[in-house]
Amino acid sequence: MTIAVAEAPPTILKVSARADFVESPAVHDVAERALAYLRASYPVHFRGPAGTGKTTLALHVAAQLGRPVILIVGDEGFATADLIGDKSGYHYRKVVDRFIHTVVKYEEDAVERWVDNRLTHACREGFTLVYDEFTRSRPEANNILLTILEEGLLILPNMNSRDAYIKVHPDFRSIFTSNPQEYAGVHEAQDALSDRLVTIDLDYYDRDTEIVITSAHSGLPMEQTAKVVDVVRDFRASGEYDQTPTLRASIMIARVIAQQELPPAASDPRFVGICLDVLESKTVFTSGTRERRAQQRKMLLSLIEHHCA
Amino acid sequence: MKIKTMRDVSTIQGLRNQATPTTREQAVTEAARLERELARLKRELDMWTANQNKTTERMQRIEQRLALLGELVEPSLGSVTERSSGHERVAERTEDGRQEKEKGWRTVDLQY
Repeated sequence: MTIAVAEAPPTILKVSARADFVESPAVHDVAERALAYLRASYPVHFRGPAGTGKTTLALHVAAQLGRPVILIVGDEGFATADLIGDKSGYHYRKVVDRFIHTVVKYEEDAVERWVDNRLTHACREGFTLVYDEFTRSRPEANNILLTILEEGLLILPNMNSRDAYIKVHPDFRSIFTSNPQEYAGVHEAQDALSDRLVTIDLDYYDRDTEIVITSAHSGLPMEQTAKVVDVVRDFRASGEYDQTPTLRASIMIARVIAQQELPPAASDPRFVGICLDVLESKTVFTSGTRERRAQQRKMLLSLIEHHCA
Repeated sequence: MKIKTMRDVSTIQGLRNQATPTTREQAVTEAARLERELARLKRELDMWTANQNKTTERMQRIEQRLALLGELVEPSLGSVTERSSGHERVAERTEDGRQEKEKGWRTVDLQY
């Protein structure tokens, strides 16, 4: 008797926009450019600092393609097998043939079992691959992408198999994101891979876009949101921080004060406290920076006073 | 009939049996013999049919048992299936084939 356990089908993502997703003209423009490259079968790479909406934009563009999405997030521990799959276990088969009762014939056979991973599924079925923060993976783990993106061929390491070469499905598309300013746990992408990608640099959105996005994500009225966004943007422009205050900081402040029904007013100590909690953490806390932190607090209070009077 | 071996050579008894009876006694004797032979063959057919039914029932019981074992081994499988040891890899599939395959995918909704 042979009991064969069916290989688990791949888990795919069905990506859709949230109700509060804002497609401002700036977002629309970048998405259209990216789609044009993807439709011409070129992989797209969104590069930008934290909080510029790289991942959201990648998912938004992937949703426009209308194919199932496979999402991979780069990691230091990734090896090639984590992308394409590996040999896992055996198919074991034993046959006892007693067709003639006096003659017993045994046959035993064990075959190594190959299990596809997400990249292989994506190449085989024509999914859209979103490889988020791909520079967090070691460059050698990403080598397998070179032939996929150029020759349209996935080369598997199981040399003896008839499936050693897989022709990449014509619907396969790939979107990458990375943060060039990140310094923790990232690697340089190899030139060969970077050369294959169409890189679109993203920067922080303009004031109007940030206000619309923050208002949509927090539920705060636009005129109140504008005050919060202005405080965060001016703090960003000051350069007095170690971690750049991003749109996430604006959304954090706006969402909390919207939930607590606080006015964005400098006279309300609870609002000021929330702003300081969110924005003061953008400076590294060491004993030597006490004076700098005091100056930073003074500057933040003056910004709040200026915009939220 | 073409004669290939000695088995194909008719014996005198065989020729006699195949010949058209000339007397009433011969006809009655042969008719009686053939009636007995027909009855014997009917009994044999009944035995074969009974054996076939019994074997079919056993096969059904085994298939039910295998389905149960398959559920225990892999609940999502539903039934035990015979597969080749190699993975079937198809680089290009038809639209119908793709839809069939899509039904088996596990889908997770992701909102951005």
